[in-house]
Amino acid sequence: MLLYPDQRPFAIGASSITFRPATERESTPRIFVRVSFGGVETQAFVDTGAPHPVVHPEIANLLDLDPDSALSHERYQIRRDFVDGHLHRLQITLVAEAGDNLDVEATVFVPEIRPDQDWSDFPSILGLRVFLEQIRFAIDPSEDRFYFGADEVIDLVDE
Amino acid sequence: MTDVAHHPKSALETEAYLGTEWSRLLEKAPTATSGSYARAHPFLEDTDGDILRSPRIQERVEHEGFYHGGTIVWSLARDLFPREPTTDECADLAMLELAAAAEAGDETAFLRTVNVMSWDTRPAEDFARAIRLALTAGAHLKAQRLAELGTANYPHHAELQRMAHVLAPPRVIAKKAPARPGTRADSEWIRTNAERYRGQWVALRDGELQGTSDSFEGLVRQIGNPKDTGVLVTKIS
Repeated sequence: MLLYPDQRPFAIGASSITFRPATERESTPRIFVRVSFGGVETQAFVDTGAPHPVVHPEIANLLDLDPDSALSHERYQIRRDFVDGHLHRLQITLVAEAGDNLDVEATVFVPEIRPDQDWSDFPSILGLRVFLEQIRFAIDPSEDRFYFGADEVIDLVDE
Repeated sequence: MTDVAHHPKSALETEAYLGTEWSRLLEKAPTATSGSYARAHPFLEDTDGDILRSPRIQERVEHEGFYHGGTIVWSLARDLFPREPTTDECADLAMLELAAAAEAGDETAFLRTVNVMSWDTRPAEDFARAIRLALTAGAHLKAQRLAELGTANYPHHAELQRMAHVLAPPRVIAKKAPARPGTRADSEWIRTNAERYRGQWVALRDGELQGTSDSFEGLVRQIGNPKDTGVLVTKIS
């Protein structure tokens, strides 16, 4: 596992990544990481332009999320589109194939798909700004590996 | 540009901010040519952009470089009010600017305004509103900060507590769950079979295909609810 020069661990776990387009309409390969949203394991693609993790709405339907404790969010921008939905608090697990899993309670966005919208082609997302940026991660493309870790106390960066 | 025709607040909310002055201000605003600036401002829909069509405002926009909805209203209010706005009116105009920046999806303008506002004396309702506006503006970390500050100032305010809970920074709740080496085989399976199963939802466990379907719903019908089973469900794009 990765270490700092003083031998403190940088990462506590690692998993394999796969490269493929985010949707069937695209051709640019994206980084997909194995993740558990509230106990449902899926692959989410790493989107450095996204703030929160985004849970595919059909996966979210399996999680019995409490609407009373959610925060509605209109016009949430996901890549080039705006969608309405809700912010929830949810346990996210970065699933390790080496080392230890990393369990994080975090804010996720769940799109509320209107009948005229189609989300079926879109995957779940691991956003950078409000999630990945606040833990530690590294990617080794030569080994197709995603390393992750976190301090006990997470410091935020002021806007 | 966002379509402001569906914004629910407009004149009523504006009146709440500016009181009776707003009505007089509306009466004084002459109607002239159309202006695109109205579309960026959420509080002017009921006026059909009349204020921003006025030559006087257009002149201000052209000569002073104002283009932001909230700034235009500020300028107009200062011109037409018979007296200087009170401190409260200034503060509420700042909320107007926040709303305009949020409606325009302008995170930079939102942060510029919110960072110079004094939040020590703001009521809890302003915190709640500013948090929602921050989310709309895309200022997610600022929403988090406002929620923290709001609950610190109003620890018994239920809505602010809920917001602070939902928006709290990520919290590591466990670090010692054991690894599952078999999950590597699932990634290998996807690398090997992605082309063949493109467009399909698949379920995998330790590199073994458990099910496949055109839809997520169809996959769950085959394999049951995958929650807490360790089965990977994903769409191959």
